[in-house]
Amino acid sequence: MSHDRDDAQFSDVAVRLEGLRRLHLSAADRQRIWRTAYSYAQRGPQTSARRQGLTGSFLRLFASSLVVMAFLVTSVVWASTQSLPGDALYPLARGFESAQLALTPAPQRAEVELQLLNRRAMEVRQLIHHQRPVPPEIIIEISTAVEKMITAPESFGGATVVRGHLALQEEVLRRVVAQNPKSRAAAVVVGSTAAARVSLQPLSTLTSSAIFATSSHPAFEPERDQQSIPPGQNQILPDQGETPGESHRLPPQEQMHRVRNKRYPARI
Amino acid sequence: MSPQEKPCYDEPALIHRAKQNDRTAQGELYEHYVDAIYRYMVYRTGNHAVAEDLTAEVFAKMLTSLARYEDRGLPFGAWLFRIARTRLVDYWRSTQRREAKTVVLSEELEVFLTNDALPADRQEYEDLLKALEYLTEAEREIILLRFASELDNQAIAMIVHSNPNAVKSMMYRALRKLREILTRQEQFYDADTEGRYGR
Repeated sequence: MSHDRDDAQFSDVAVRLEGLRRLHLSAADRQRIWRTAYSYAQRGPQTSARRQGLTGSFLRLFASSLVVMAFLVTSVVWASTQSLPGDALYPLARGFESAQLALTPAPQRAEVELQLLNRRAMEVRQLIHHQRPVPPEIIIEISTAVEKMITAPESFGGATVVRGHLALQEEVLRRVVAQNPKSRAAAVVVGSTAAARVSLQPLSTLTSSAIFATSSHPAFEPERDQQSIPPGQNQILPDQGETPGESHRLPPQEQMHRVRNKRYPARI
Repeated sequence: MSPQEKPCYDEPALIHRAKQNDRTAQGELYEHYVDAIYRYMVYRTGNHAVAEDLTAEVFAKMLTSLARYEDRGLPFGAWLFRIARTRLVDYWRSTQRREAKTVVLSEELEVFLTNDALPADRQEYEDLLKALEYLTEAEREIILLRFASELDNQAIAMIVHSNPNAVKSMMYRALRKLREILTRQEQFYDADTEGRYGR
């Protein structure tokens, strides 16, 4: 031991403290401790084993929790994909759709939009099948998508593809009108969709009678509440100066535009 | 830093051989440090059996971790005492209690410690142990590392994660306090007894 200044200053205390070193293990004790240390080293110290046990338990618990969480998340996601408008999980499904759309590269976005539009059609069918009302938001959404398709059919795979999708939407919307004849928005969108589908026909197949046939289609003239709605004003509210019954002869895009603006008037 | 000075003790060579799983070298390292570690444990726990078991665990750890030991500024002795200190903290944690402010030596241990001493020495020894109880935990630790385990300030600083100057200052305060206690022992204990029980 090095004796520095402190030890010199406190030599009396230091000498007494050095008495602590009188304590020595006997040879038997040394042997026993060495054997114990060796046995601990062979099987690992007890504390380490215990700690490993605790770590193992924690890891098992953590893994089990992860599996349960993954199961729950999968179940909720699956349930949300099966949900219909009005269900508790439907907003979650719409959130996933928005995320999917946002993450899709621009070239493939049109394809995804068509998939989502088909999903809307399927949801409407199921709602009708279960005798549940179709929320007007869905009609507006279909209307917007249809308008987008007829504005730029080439972005959605060409006129033939768009026509197929329009036919599907038209068929679904007719069911909505059949279920709820008072749904003026659905009736308008049916008419405009039908007109759009016809306008996308190749010129060689178009005849004036075919075009006018869409306007006089029964779905385009849904059953009216005879007391509240005068004849000829069943689709949209005509602008001032517009002859009643004239609005349904407007181009399909204009009709849809009016439907949306009537529901969500533009802020000025 | 050598708890038991031996002329033929070549620690680096022994460590090198011990890493090769040479049991003789491992045994020599054990023999060199076992008393110092045991004294550190016994004066801090106050129990011979516990100290013996903890000492065995420290050397078990030495055997299992020796292959990973490299002297990068941390001497082997300081490394071993760090293991001892960690093991001691684990022991206190596992027994759900903190280190007692006063280490009460078991009766068996007191007999064991003062057994072969002369009656006068025995009294002096008992007084010293009693005086140690009045130091703080940190002071008691560095006093024990210095005087019971024969380590220098540099090694103590490495073990307690401090610096040598801080250890030196604390050592100075601890020694001054101890001298005061030992010089005015009867007076000090009487006052302390009154302080504890007189109110």
